[in-house]
Amino acid sequence: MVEPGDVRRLADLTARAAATELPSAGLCRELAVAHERVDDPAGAVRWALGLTDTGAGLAAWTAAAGVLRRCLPQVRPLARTARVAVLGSYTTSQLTALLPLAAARAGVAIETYEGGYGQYHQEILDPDSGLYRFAPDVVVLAVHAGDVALPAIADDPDAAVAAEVSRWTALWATVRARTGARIVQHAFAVPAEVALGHLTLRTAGARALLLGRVNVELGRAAAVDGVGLVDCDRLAADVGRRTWFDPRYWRRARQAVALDCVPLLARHTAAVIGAQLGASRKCLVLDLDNTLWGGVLGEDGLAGLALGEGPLGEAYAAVQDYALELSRRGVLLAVCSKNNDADAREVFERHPGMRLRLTDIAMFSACWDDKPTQLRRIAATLGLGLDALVFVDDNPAEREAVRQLAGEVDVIALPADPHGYLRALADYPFFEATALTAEDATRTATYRARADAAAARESATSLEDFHRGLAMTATVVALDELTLPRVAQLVGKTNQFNLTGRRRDEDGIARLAAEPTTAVFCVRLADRFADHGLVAVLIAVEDGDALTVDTWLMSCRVIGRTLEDELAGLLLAEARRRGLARVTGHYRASPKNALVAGLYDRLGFTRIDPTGVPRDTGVTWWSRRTAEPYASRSLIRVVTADRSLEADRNMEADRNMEEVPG
Amino acid sequence: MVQDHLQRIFREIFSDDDLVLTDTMTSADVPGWDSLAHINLIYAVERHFSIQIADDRLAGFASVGDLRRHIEELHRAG
Repeated sequence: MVEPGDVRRLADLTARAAATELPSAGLCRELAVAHERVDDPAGAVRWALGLTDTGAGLAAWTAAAGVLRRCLPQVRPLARTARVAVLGSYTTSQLTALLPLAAARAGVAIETYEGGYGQYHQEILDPDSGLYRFAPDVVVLAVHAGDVALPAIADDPDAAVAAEVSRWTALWATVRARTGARIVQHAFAVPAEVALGHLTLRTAGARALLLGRVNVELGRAAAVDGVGLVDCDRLAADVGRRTWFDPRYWRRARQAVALDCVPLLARHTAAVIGAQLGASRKCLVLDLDNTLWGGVLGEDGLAGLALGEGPLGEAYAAVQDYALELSRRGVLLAVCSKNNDADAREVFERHPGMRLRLTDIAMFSACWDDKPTQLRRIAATLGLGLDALVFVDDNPAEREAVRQLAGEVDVIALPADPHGYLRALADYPFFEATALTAEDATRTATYRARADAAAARESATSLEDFHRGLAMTATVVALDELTLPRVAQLVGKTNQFNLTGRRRDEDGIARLAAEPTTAVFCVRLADRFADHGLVAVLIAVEDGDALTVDTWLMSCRVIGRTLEDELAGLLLAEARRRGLARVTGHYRASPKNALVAGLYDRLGFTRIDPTGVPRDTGVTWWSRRTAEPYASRSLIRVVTADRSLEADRNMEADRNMEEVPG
Repeated sequence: MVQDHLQRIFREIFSDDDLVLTDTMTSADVPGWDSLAHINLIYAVERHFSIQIADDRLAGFASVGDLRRHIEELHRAG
């Protein structure tokens, strides 16, 4: 039951949110609740997920997790789902409760199972445990440094590290032997309290050092085994080790991670789970003016940009360096800017402060289209979904336009101060990858090639313009001893564009063609990029007042080029020349030729299935009067070759052309 | 004043915005108020009011009113 007061409250909160670009956690929570109250679960989910980006603590996350739990089942399902088991060495109930919220933010809807307190060994080793009954897709080992068996100072540091690492890798092996589950392990946060003081660095067996070595060795093993690691030591250092671990709550309730840090841990665990499941974002789309450099190119000019030198110029250079590092680890970079294309490219080519080169950019989009439109084009060109893109722009209005009109794109909000840009980028966790491969460093080149190929299509405003831009020429050549082998080859193996499916060998084709009542068209096609060779064969025979199609086929190289329209024109003209009233033909369905089932209909032929003859299923008969005017779209120039010149020159090319069965 | 803040914390921890606190309320009156929720609640209260509730008081609140009065005492002392 929706109350008028709830509707008014939602309107009021929405207005407050619109007045601030990054609503606080409190406002996000109130909006989530308000949407839920007016029966808008999608809005409730959106604001619950928005809350996870505000750096909020346990209480706000717990509230949002509740909204998500109630509302997510009522909205369009997320692209990915997973069953996630959390096994811990401490109280993991809060982590398990918040993980569905964090995972949904990463694009994965999860169901969770929480192992018994501190029971991770038993859960893994007992084949009848709740873990295996749950049948997890992902097993999270939420363990902490207190559970690592290392003395304060080890006599044999190497052996101590090896023993500890093999304890964990053995557990991984058992999980993988019994399930197909992915494993995500929390690496160890090194405690802040160190009795050895600065002597730690000089003491090879010191526990703090060995914990770090265990992390490194776990990383080495995880890379081989495909295990995802969450670098908790980095997270702890980031928030401060004193904040990460709260001794009061360790002793009160065995919380090894301070409860207000659990949301951060959940967020990063979800990012690694997402990477394991292939849900990571793949492309960083960068604005130019006041994002990659200081100033507005169109107003300040190339020489007026802040880039590379001075405190401000260094801030922008730092952003570019970070983007380059992302690129080297396999994140695609794209540019999305409202600028003149040539001017924007000139900065990349000429400005001495530029770190990024045009070759680092998979797709360069600088034009005056709105940014949601540009982003859609970038995604389509790179063959990615919008949900693979992350957009970064200094302009709040542009960010808002993208949020509203291309909502699947993730948007990184930049702070007002450019010195904070790098931090804002680095805080974004959803570019997480499962591995670093040699291919990552070259991925941009692959995608750039795709973008270049698409550019020809893109520049045409319609398919018709695209075809015109190809400058196609169809040449009708004679059937003779030079073209016959290629014609026989096409007749023998063309499947898709083949109306009658008749197979004949060279002798059969030659005998039929020799009859004066037979018309044969052998057609070559060339465009400004390539000569496709002899690609179409049409054979028709006189039958009463009609010229009847015996064989009509085309190579699949040239399907979709409108060549069939020109062939129909040639056929009708030939029938007229012979004084015939009609052109007739039939389509015989085969497992592969559905492509041309509607061809005659599209070309203006009328269905004339014969009477008195037993109806053959899968065959349709068609007729068109030669007196009726016929106009093709004229997207191809048609010429008739001087046989003595054309055939010789082109025959070799035909033979050498490897024909894919069409 | 403390009551308003406390009510908001309860609503967050129990993810229930219909929750209306009264002084006589006990854990038996609030669905889901188990030992885990209690730890979350005490933690959120400590963080929100910048106070520290002593270990020996953790389990000793007879009612919401009892908790509210203790918060007010610590708040005044702090």
